[in-house]
This record gives sequence, C-alpha cells and structure tokens, in this order.
Amino acid sequence: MSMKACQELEPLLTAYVDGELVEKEIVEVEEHLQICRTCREQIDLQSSMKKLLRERYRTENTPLHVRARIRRMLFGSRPVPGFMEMLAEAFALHRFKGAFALVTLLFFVGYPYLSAVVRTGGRISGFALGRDHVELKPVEVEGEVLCVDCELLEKAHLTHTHEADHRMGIKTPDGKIWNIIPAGEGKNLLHNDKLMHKKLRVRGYAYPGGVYLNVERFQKI
Amino acid sequence: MLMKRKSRDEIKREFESLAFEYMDQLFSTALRLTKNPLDAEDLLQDTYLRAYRFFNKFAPGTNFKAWIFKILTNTFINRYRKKQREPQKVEFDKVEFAYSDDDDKSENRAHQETIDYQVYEELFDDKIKDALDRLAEDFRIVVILCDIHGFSYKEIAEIVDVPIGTVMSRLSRGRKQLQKFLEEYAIQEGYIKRKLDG
Repeated sequence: MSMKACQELEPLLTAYVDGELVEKEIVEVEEHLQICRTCREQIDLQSSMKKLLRERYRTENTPLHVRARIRRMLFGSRPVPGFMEMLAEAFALHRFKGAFALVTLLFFVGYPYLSAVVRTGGRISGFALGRDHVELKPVEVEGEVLCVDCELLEKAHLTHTHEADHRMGIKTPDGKIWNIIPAGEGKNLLHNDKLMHKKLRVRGYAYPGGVYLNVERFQKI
Repeated sequence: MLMKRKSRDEIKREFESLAFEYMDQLFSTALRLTKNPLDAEDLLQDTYLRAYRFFNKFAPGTNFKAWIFKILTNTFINRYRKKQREPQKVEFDKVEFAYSDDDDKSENRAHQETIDYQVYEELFDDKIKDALDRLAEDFRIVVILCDIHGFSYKEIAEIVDVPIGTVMSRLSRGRKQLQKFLEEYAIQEGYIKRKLDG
C-alpha cells in the first residue's frame, strides 16, 4: 500500500479533527500519521484550537431591553387586531359561516354569562364578572424606603427621567418591594423625598395578587 | 378538504419555544460578525423579524438552529457587510450630540443604553474574541459555526451557501491563523506546548 503525500492528505486532516471522515479515509489518515510527524503536529494544533474555542469561548447575554424589544416587535404590536384576525381566519375556513358565527357568539357572550350565573347563584351584578371580593391581610414590614420606579428601571437598564417624581416603596431585606396604596397614611409616604433611603417599620394591610400595602401607620427605625 | 390551520397564538408559541432559546448564541455570533454592539442588536432584531415572517417556510422536524443561523448569516451578508466596507468614523462628541438632539424618541434612549459597559468589556477583554475578530470574515464565520456552535460540515455548507470542500479549507486556514494569534495564550493555558525549535 502506498502512502499519500502530505500535501494530498492535508485537506483530510481538518475533516479528521472534526470527525467528518468515513471509515476508509480515517484508516488512510491514521496510517499516514504513524510515519509523518508534521501531519501529527498539524492534527494536534487544529484539535487544540478547536478545544480552546469550545471550552473558553463565552457567549454574551442578549441585553434585556433588546430581548424585550424583539418580543414586542414580534408579538406585542397588535393585540386587538390579532384577535380579530384570528376570528376572521376562523370564519374563512368554514363553509357554514352563519352557524359558526352563531356558535362563536354564543360561546363568547354566553359562557361568561352562564358562569357568572353559576358563581353567584342566579344573582348577576356588574361586579360578578370581575373580582368582587378580596381579603386584606394585616402585615407589618420593616425595610428601606426607595423609589419603586428607579429601582425597577435600573434592573431593566433604563433610567428614571428627572421630570418624573419619585414614588416611594419599601424594600424588605428579602428583596421584596412593597408598593404603597395612595390612601390614608400611605399618601404621606408616597411622594415624600425626605424619607428616601430611611429605614421604616410599616403597619398596614397587604393586597392579594401583588405586593401592595395599604398603610395604617409608619415610624422611622 | 378541511385543513386544520394553526391559530396565531399557536404559531407564536411554537416560534417562541423554538427561536428564543438561541437568542444569546445568535447575539454573540452577531457581535463577532459586525464587531459592533449596535449593529449586532440590529442584526439580531432583523434576524428574528425575518425568521418570524418566514416561519411558515420552515419545515417542522428539520434543524431549526441551522435554519435561523442561515437567516442571520444571510441578513448579515446582504445588509451589513456592504455597510462595513465604508470606513467607520466614530466621533464621540457627535454621538452624544445626536442623542441629546432628539431625546423625545424613547427608542434612542434605549439605544444609548445599549452601549452596555459589560458588552464592551467583553469585547475588549477577551483574547479569544479578539483573535476571532482578527480573522478574515469568511474564515471567521465557518470557525464560529463549527467550533463554537458545533454545526456539521453539511450544515455549515447550507448556512454559508458554499460547497463542503470550501468549508473544509476555510476551517483549516482559519484555525491556522487563529493559532498564530492565540499561540501565547494557548501555551499559557496549557492547550499547546511551546515549540522547542524556535
């Protein structure tokens, strides 16, 4: 069996490193490597470079606002027409348009109505279609006063404009940020720049479904 | 025949679950291609817009990663390469001025934020990225696709639209150049041994 010259084999070396050769070619390359130091070094160098890149290349993270912008551009631009288009699409698909329209109408209007009837035991009021009753939980929190908007915008790599005034919230040591309901004592807390970065103990009522606090009393600590 | 067509919501969810996973990989590649964070963001954005628009052309079950990388590469070649050939002038004062000139556009402010310290730091502080940036563009693309993203020769040939033989020779030459740029670093990190014969 004759050994091919290095020059002739060179293109195969790269493919050998990448595992892209068929059995017959692998045998051919390996036979040559046994007698050729130059090609062995060549193989070593190429696989070292490949390994270096694979192990040491760090992929950058997409900045959050770019991610958000792409999501908005793709999905968020036309929420209402999107729904109408979906309906239009559905109508166009069916031969019995009239019947389908009726079913759709019954579904979208009838279902919420019926479920409201069921939930309220026959008494339908305007409130029955939304959340009509919430439980307020008495809480006491201790934490630092900060501007909610500044804090959140900073995390999204944006900045609070100077014209906007600061809206105070309480950040507890576990990182939770409490929003203040603009009512009662809360009003005295909400836009009070003097309290910025002060430590407070606040008593009030927590709203479910969000970190909202209806303030009853607060004191500096 | 009644064909079941996917709703807009289904399409959206399907695209999201397939495409958003690769965003960081695509962004990083866009940075290597454009060598500029702002252009990289635009390229990434265009890539996603095109991918979403042509999503119906994607055959389910085939390689989505290769498909979207091809869109990235094509978009870059068609749009940004031409622009890059023009010499770039960066005058910091003018950039600042341009932003403050029409700050009513929130998009501009977002753009300014883009000059993210972290991105810059990574661009300038990384020997591997520096070395990749110095490679000729044709070599850089195939090396990145093969060694960083693990595409096969066949996939790379599809993505870059050249024969497999060309992929192979570009890889070979690309790695040789990289080795020249990265020799000291590779020795220091124990990836290659120092040559004894000078």
